[in-house]
Amino acid sequence: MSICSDSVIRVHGLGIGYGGQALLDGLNFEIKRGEIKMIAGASGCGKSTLLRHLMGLDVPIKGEIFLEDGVFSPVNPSFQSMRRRCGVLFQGAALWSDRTVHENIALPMQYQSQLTSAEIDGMVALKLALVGLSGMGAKYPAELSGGMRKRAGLARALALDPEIIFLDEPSAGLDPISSRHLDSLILELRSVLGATFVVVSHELSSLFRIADSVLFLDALTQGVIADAPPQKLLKDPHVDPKVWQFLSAGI
Amino acid sequence: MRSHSFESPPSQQGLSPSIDIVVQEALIQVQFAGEWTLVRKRPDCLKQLEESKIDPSGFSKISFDGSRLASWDSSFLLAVQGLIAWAQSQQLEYSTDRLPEGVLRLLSIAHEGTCFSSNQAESRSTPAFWDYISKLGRSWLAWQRLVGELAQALCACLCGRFRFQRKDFVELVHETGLKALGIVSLLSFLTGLIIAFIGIVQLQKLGADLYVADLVGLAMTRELGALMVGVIMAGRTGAAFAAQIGTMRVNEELDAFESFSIAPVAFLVVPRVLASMLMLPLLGAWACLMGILGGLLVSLSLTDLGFVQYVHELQYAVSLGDFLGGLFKCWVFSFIVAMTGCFQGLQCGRDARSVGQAATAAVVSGITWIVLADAVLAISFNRLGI
Repeated sequence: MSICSDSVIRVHGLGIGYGGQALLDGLNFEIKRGEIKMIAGASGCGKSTLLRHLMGLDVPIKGEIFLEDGVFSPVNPSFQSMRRRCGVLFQGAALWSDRTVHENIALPMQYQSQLTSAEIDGMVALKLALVGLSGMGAKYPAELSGGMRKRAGLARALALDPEIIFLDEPSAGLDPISSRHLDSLILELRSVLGATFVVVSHELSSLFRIADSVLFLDALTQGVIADAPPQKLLKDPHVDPKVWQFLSAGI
Repeated sequence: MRSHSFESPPSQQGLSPSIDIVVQEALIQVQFAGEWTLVRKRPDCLKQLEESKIDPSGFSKISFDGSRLASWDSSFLLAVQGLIAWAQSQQLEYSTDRLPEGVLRLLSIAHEGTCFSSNQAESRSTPAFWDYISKLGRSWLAWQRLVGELAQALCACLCGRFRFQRKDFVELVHETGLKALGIVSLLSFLTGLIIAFIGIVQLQKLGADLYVADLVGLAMTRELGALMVGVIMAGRTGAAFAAQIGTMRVNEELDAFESFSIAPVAFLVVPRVLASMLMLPLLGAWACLMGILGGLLVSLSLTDLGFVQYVHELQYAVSLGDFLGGLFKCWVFSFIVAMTGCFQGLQCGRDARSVGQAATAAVVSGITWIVLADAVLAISFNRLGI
């Protein structure tokens, strides 16, 4: 897997939580351009919360997130333009239920691009083809299966050709075959688009299949207990026992 | 939990649960017997201890003996937990060695779970009063923010920097206006009918039946037309807005808007506010007409008043100012209904229960603000001579 060395996201001294209570504190890590970074850990350790902060949907209690050289924060005047460089696939796909799949993918382009409606139609068809949903544009989200909804959500996440794509539990609720297809799709999209993927998951099969590196979070220490490629962590005799226990469950 | 049977004396099978308290030197021994299951009436262990008149200060240890149990389930566990808590409060050493293995394992799991949840509760507990104050403060700030964002979004729309979907707006106009026509017509017609009926009964005593037209006309145009429409729309449209936007919050659809830098206020709130402000005055005018028709029906039925006389008296009593004042009230109420509905939807939590709470809060706060605004407007109109 080819990974460029420059980091696209840097997290410095980040403290996150709700209602002033820190869930994770003093987080320091970076995500390299073009890599697939998996965020893993036990349930309730703050994986999805961290992802929401990385996506700019929640404001951290302390610390900073840098998107390349700029601080990724609502107080930064270029926050919205930074955000447009990111695409998100939410856990439940979060497709707008009163719109067709075509309209779901077209809407961000209508508001955030200068494309004509004919061009947008062409772009939507292209995105749908990328995720293997050609001809499904006229369907409403309720008419799709769980796996198809995830694919449609991914197509929407790709709408503005993002450099960074956040995926929150992409395999959740999917059967093993659909989950494997989605993993293959992520790998394919990374090689075609060169995008950076940040994936929250506790699916060990996905973790070993697609992750370039894994960031392990721990609720007890409120921090990162490991940040390395999964195969390397498995062989590391000094790795935290919780990490080894977690990874070895998938072997 | 299923009940567990184990090697117990056959004589205990089918027996009701019971306890025996035996005292031996410094030891209190609690012996359980029979079937300790949820479906059986179980003895109150603590009450039985009290009734035995044992002074715990004279003992150093308490032991629990389950060797005579026929079967047990979680109800037995609860009884043992209660006795352990009592022993701890009396500073007695306790022994559970003679309890079934399963009970001991479950007690250990329950103990760990209690430690975990009490630690969590401790770390998150804050005084309820400050919680309420901070919630109120946050709510006020969120309201200010919504008003600010709405003003910004309206300016962006007027300047052509943002356009909401025409399809959405047409649907909302249909939803808030046309679909509400039936209920508004019915309730306004009945309101006019009731006012006229009560008015006629009183006015006939003075021989002033003619003035029923004045009564119904003024009441509907100045006050009740607007108020009826406001209250109906708060219950119908306001709740619908809160539920729609709240559900979008639960399904992360609002986050999806934000992830594309599309402001939810501009996309969702602006068309709802504009659709309401367009349709509610029209519904208000319609409500006045229906109320007046209701009054006419009663007048024709119960008095000697004719259609022409009724209309003539109405023209004399109700001025254009009265009618426009009523429409202005509708316009204000429409803003309140749409804003409270959208506000509660945007403030909704991330679970299904919150959606219901948001819809309820939208209706309650909407009606409260409508009545308050109506009082302010009534006084203002009076001072301004409208």
